[in-house]
Amino acid sequence: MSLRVRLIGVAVLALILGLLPSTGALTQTQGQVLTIGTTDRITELSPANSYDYWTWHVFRQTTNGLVTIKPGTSEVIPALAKSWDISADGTVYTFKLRQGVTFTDGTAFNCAAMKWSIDRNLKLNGPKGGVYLISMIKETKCLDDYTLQITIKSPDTTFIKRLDNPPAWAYSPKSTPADTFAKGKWAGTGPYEMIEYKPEERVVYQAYDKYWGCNDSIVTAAEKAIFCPRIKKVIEVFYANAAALAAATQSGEVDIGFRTFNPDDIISMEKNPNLKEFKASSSVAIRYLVFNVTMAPFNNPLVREAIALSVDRSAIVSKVFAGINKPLYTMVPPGFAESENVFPARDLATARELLKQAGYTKDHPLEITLSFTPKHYGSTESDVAAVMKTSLEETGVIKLNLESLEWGTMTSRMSKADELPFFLLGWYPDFLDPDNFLAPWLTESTKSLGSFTTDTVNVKFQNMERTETDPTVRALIFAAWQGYMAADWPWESFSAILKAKLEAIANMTKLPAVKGLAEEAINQIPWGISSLTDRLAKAKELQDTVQPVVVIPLWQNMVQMYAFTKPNITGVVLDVTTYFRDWLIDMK
Amino acid sequence: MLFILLTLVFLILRVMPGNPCLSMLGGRNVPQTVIVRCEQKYGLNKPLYVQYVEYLVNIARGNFGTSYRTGNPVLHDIFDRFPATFELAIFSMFFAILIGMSTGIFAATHSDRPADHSLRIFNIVSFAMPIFWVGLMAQLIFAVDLKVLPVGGRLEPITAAYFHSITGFYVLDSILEGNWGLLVQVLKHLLLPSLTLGLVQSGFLGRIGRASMLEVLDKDYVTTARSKGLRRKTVIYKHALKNALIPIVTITGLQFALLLSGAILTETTFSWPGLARYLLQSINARDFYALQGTIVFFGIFISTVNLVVDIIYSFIDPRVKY
Repeated sequence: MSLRVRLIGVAVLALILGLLPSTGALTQTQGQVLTIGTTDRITELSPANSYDYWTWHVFRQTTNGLVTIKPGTSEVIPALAKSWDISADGTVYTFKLRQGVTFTDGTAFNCAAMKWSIDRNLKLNGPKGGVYLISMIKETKCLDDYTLQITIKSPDTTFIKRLDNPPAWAYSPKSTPADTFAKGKWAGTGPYEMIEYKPEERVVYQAYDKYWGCNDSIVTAAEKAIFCPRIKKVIEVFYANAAALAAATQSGEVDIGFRTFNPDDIISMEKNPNLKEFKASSSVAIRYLVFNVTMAPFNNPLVREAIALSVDRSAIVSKVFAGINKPLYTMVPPGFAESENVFPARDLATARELLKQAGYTKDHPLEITLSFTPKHYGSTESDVAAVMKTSLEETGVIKLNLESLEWGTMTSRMSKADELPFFLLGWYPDFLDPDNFLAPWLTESTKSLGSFTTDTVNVKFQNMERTETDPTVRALIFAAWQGYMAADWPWESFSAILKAKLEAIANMTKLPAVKGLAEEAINQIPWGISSLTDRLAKAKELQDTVQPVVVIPLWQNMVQMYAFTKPNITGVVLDVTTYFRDWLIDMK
Repeated sequence: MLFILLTLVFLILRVMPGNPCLSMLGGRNVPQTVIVRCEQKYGLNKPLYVQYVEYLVNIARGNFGTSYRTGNPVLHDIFDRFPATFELAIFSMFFAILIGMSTGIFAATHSDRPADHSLRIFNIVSFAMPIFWVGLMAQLIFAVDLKVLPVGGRLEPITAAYFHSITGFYVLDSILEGNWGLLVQVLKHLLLPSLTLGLVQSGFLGRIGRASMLEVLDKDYVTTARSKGLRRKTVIYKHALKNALIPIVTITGLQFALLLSGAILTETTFSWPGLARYLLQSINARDFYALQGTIVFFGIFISTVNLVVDIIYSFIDPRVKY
């Protein structure tokens, strides 16, 4: 046989292989199977020792908590609890549990099981986990078989929302190890049961046939529509990167592609008539800059404010993210009713003026270094840093150096008091409350998140909003807090607005504690400074106690909020929660 | 050689920036006591020479440690993923040899003619093309546009969820089971990644093959064979090719190392669940033991391949005796 004939033979074989149908070799499936592609990963399947999107997503498909968020809204609704009461002092929560619920291992769900689950996770409290979200729990107690009482250490209006996280969910005492991290061994209450997990390849779920969410004697018709799974079997496939995910979605290899596409692929797929697009109108995933406010030159608020006025959010969004992401002017992202655009628009003239007051000119420029980590945030991170450099240097007074760090190095250095002064970070909330977009850098985790602020006014705002139960007053507290942390407090016009808000809080609240805190804040903030010189002097005087602009919000990460599906897919809900609910998806 | 590799792997991992325990623990507000406990658990608090001796002793015992990412012994993870990489490597080598040798021999036997020039350019271009780019283009054309081949993975998602492998080598499994439908699916999934990887390797083999063949074709015994009136094909394939193969086999052995490094890109592009992708994910996660174990395993594997290549010499060249 000649070489040519052999080559033709191989080519023909390849062609035949290519054209042969993919035979239903092993697809002896019963009913429909839904395939979902993603680039996300599962870390450790332990509710007390994991804290990342897809690991928690697996728990979300396989078990329930006392409460959950109604799809498409941010409303807290009952799940395993039928109803709940809160004591007058806000510290005792009494939950009435549903009866007739079972775990996927057949064990009956009751108060003892729920109490065991919460107590277990509180006790294990893994270093990689998010148990600290419910660390305010003081005691859990069963009043009867189906009544659970949880006492918290102090009033906290965010508590009920914190319960919609895996550390507070139900796990079967029979199948889940009591004293060690589960590492893949657990049984939940459904809607699905995980029947296979192959790391970095796939996870397979089978609908639990005795799931309470489908049982007419346990749930109402409206609840059934929210909880009962449509598809019996779901396979989630992990792709190596965004390009592979986009190719798999476009070729029809998976029914749904979700998290995370490249911006260019999103634009291309939006034009694909064979794909259906689902996207959220808002995203709670945000990106921002952090200052260590104790390190020079960032211990000077004028420098921080000048940088806030120099960053070019529009350039970042258009040049790096093809316009998919959205510029962000507050840490509490749009989508929350409490969100207020408080950071100023770009204003290079004012920025130069502030820098001049701070002692920096063209001849004596402000030379600073921005640290960032492409390893953690992806290849676009370097492009973002490059745009940051261009935009800050357009002032003519700032010289920005860029420092790319490995993620481990970055987290290690940013939590040291004198190592990382200025860096790029990202945030995905622990629970859906504006509190979680302010407190982490301003009060709760100032050291581990690298801001090192010691501003006690922030603590007052936090204590006010966590104590206040009236939503209107609470919204006002958040509005005031966002304004306060976004700078400009000394300026007459702004300070008048902020002061008015604080006075309104003091007048409207029915809680003496909140009134007292608002009045203390009014007394602490230095109002009515009109000249820049006065402002600089006051800023220096108060730089350890009044510290505005600790962080600068940059953009909302919308790219993670797109799903592309085959045309026959329905029921994909992408809302402010960012939860992906496999059980609501159907194939027509 | 292996000892040098072991030492280098050990040293490089220890001088890399960042605390591995911090990377492992990842979460917020990790207490110092937890970090210290983690360092004690992994022996990272011990003097470097103690860590080094323990590391060598453990590897000699076949103990590669436990991957903190998967929670499995590293050796278990390696053997779980190695069949995928080996299958890919074998098929890639098949395509590399097929394309490289064919083009090399054809170019040599048509030396300085248009076909020779075209194939030389083809070989240079093949060798110079970035694997990930070739892979992406192949995916776009054959999977996304024409929809005749799959985008990636070893099987279709639904089949993969039902399939239980016996050997880890899916081609072998489907033959053993006599499941020809599955075999077609496995081969379809293998085609694009192995062709991509093989094509890039073929460029180099083609260049070496051409040079080696040209050298042999100039030898006296070839001239003698021709002057005896032997058919051209007999001269080329029976007399010249066997001698031209010696340097090609050497290069093929060495290419295996290159092939495995290329597999990192290929496996990433095609979401191929192999050992090379495992290595990359271990690097990203600073999974100390997984990283260490995989590199050492690759080192041992490449040394073994080269040993096999040395043994093959004796079959090709009777002058070589061991």
